[in-house]
Amino acid sequence: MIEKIHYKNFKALRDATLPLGRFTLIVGANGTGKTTAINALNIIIKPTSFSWKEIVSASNVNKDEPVEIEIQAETSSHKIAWGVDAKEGQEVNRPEDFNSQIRKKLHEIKINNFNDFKVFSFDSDKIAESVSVSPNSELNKNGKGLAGVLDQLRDSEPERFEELNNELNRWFPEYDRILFDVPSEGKKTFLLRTLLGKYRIKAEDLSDGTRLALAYLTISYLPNPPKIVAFEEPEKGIHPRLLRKIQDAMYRLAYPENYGENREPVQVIATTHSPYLLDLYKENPEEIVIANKDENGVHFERLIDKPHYEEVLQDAPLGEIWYSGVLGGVPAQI
Amino acid sequence: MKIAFFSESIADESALRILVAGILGEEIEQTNLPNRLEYRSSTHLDRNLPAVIKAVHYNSDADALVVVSDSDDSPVHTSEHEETSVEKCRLCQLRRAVEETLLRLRPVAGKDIIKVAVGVPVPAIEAWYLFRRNPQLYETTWIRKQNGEKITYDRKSLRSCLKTGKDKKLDADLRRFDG
Repeated sequence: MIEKIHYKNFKALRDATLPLGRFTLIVGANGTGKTTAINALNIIIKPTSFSWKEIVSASNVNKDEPVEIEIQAETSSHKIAWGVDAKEGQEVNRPEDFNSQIRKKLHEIKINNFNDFKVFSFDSDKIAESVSVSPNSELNKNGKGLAGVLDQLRDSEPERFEELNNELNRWFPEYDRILFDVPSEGKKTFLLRTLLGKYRIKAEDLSDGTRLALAYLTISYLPNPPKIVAFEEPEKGIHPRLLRKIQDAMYRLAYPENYGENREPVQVIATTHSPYLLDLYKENPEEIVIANKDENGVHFERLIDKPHYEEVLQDAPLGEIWYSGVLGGVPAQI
Repeated sequence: MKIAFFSESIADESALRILVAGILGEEIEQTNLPNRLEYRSSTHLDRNLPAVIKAVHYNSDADALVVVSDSDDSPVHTSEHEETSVEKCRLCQLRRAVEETLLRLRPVAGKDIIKVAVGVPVPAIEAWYLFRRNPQLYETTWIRKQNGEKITYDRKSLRSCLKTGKDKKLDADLRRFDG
């Protein structure tokens, strides 16, 4: 498990450390580096696929300071740095010896499963798209491929698929089953069957919220989910009352032992702007990280590291307190 | 003096800074709070005021906190309320919440217990903004309206007048006051 990530001159993160647990919810205003912090893991996995311009802070483009991302895990630490000899617009350029260091670090990272990482930022239209039939379907960042993943789950893990159907019915009592259709040769799409009347509702006719929720639910029921998963603004398109279910799906990934699962825990990182979602974490303040931006750049701080946080919060609703601004993580001071 | 403000919008805070600096006769210094404090409704304010006072006291260098909340439809605060607090009066409500919270605060090294000032514009902060132009927009006029006198302006009129410079209801009332 990653315990913290330190960023230096990485885009908006000039000098910031993100503390992480098994589950971490990052709250903050727009432009406070939440997405950047998550995307750094993508860059760690494929450090040679990004240009200098894509990784360096705007204020550091013409300076001689290296860009660094350092990952500290439970048992080890890994640092990847990009040299200063690269020019804007070029692929990241490294001295020969540095190249081999990166390969070595990547090897270490693979051993520690850091390469098994996926960011999800769902788009309900993409979730509904039909997919080519394939034995190794994967869920894309935007949710495309859900039909293939569900189809695969039905074939390879029928019991799990049944449990998923039962849970779907608890989330959406009007539906009782996920079905499949072949809209054209070699393509597959999913449908939901209504409990009453047994009507088949095509994926594209389902509400945005239903499609999005089904994507979260499906990930949580996968037998082998990625080792590290990040969700960007899981509240997007979801009714506030359903947020507890979304939290439940994310917890199923992070704390499988509490859900009768035998698999390894997934390290989950989520970002949010929703006071309603934040309210659900009142009993788990150690999971909340607040992103703030000031004249020195972005800073991440665990809620529990704030002095007197327990006395300040007491019985107050956490989401509202955050909105008020006393915890930070809201638009900047005038 | 370092003062934090807990208000409903960035515009209100900007105006309150000028007002409070005028009352104190000194510049208002910026606190080290990470963000501006803001509430989104009176219910939100009521629920979160104790937490905000505690956070400003324990986690900032502010000497004082200024809280401003519209009276809306609550009874207007009068001198009788100073003797016995009135349950539905907005100012009395906020004062009670402030007093109860301040009693529970512990001293912080190098800092006195935070001072809290509560302001309740009647019926809304727009009346304060428009007062210089329309000096009838004060508590007594609103009490007359609450007592059933034919005064038609309301919170919406005040907002409209502030945005456009005029409002039919308010203009009619003002003509009547002048007459």
